[in-house]
Amino acid sequence: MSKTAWRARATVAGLALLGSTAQAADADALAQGKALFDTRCNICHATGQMGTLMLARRVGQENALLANRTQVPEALVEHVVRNGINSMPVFTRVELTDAELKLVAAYLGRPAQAK
Amino acid sequence: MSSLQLPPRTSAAAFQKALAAFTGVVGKEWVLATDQDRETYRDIYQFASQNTHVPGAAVAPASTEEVQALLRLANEHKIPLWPMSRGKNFGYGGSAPVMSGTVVLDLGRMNRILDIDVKHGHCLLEPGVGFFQLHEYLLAQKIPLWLSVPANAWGSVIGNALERGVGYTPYGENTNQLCGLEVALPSGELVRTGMGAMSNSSVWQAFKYGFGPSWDQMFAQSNFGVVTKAGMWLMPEPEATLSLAFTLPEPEDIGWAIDTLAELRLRRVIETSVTIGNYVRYASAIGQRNEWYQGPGALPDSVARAIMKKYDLGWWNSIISLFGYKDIIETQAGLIKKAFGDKLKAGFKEKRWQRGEPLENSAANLPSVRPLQVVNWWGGRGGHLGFSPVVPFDGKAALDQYARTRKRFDEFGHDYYGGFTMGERYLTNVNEILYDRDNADHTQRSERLFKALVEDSARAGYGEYRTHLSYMDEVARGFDFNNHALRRLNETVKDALDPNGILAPGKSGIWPRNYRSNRS
Repeated sequence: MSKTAWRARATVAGLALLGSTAQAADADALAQGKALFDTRCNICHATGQMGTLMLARRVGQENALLANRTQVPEALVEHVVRNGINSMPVFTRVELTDAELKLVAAYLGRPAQAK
Repeated sequence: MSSLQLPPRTSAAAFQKALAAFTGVVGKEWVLATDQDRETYRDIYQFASQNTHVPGAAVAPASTEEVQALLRLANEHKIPLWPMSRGKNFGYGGSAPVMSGTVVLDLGRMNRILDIDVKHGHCLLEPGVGFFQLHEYLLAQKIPLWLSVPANAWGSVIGNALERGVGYTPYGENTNQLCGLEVALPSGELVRTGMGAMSNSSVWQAFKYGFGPSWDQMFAQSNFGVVTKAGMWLMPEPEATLSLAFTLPEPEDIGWAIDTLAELRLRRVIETSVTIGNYVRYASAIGQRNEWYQGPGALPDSVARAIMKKYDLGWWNSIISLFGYKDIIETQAGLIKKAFGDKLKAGFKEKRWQRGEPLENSAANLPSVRPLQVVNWWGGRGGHLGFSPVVPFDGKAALDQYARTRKRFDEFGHDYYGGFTMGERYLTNVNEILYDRDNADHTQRSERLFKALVEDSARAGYGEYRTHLSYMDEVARGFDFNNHALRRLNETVKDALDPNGILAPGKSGIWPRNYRSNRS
């Protein structure tokens, strides 16, 4: 094997390794976002709870359960959590830090296949 | 977004200097002073037209030591602090302070469950521990102790007890379950009450009184100290529960029903804080008003009847819950049925649970925020204002209170939303004024209604057990024996403990000397 070919193969392997590391990091962030959503948001957004009832009125029953939604714009999530919407209360940065909010937003913004 | 409001007689430079000093204690991340931060600490149900109770900033300590250090700095910089545990005192002001410019002392990061004593049924908590958190912890650790959960369970266990909130098990008067506090006084000095005043006591959470004066209730609904730890008694998991649901078809039925229940409660056949609520209380947790009525004024009786029919409600609705050994609660149920005799046309709907079955089928009120849904009754950005006078546990008194209150709701075009919650020897008459925060006509009528209710109740000799920030002075004014001797006592204590007036000025109508002119 020529030096060039060896380098090329090594680079591909390295990129693959980096890719899998990035994927693992994404999966980890998604899991963290889900865990935060489950403990901080789902008290109101679980089936039959206030957030779900409110969303059913606004976006229809089929879209009311927030945990089942994907591709929710992250900026929208961040805005609503800090500013409220209709009767949804705001969250302080003690209840949900900026870093935690980004994880929750990324979870709700996940692509459909990551459901 | 509102602009920065500073505490009285405080310059912007002095305020910023204090915040910088706070940063030295808690770190930059936990001094929350952006415009958006200030907004997140305001009363979430405040009328849109109001610009009162605006916090100057928030600061969030993680430990008792940090609380002490912040109190010392607040004295040094003469900056008032407003302690709150989780800020979910909705309907009474949430996380906001009485006096604008006050810095919210957010104890939410102090959320450790420090001890659970399974054998003796008590725990030691930090103020940031919420009902959901403690409930899930007990479940996960398979600890057979139950919480007494209030209607809105988003808040703090300790905060609820200190504000004299109510849950729905025999341990329902949560403030009575407090046993031993650790308190940072306004000076920053730390004290422990009851047996905790001994350095090596093993019964701090078992014996409430200690030796000599007992101080625990001094720190409930007050501004005399910051509770940094508190003991609470928890109920051992019962062998069984039994729920007896009943409805009363007419408003006037409240009279005989209260008299029947008073005897049972007095003799501890019923041991829980049973609540009788009217149909709006239930209908507003399910749907919205415009599904039923779009006309002006309060709901007509024909609409009320239609709502009741659809949801199988009475005009009043209630559940009596029994907890304990199966044989005992069956006996209690027999006595209750005997007392009601044939007065209930529809009888009781009974529901039984035994240990080992799913908890959601028991009479325990599991943590939920579902009742907050009532704020959507009118649509828009909803809110509610609680009016909660204490009245005698007497049928005629309850009927008169209902009639007087209902008349006022009708007068101001609000749908009467009321209920009576039963202490051992008193009733708390909880009324909720529901509104759309952005509808100026609506909020003005809400405010006028609230003031009329306070005046009516004061004339009847009834004061509130708890009230919204905006009305603390007004309600405190009603406690006027001997030309306001209680206020003088409270403010003598306040000035002695807090000479710089740095802790929660105006809380419960108690003003420190330096801010006393702010009394409304």
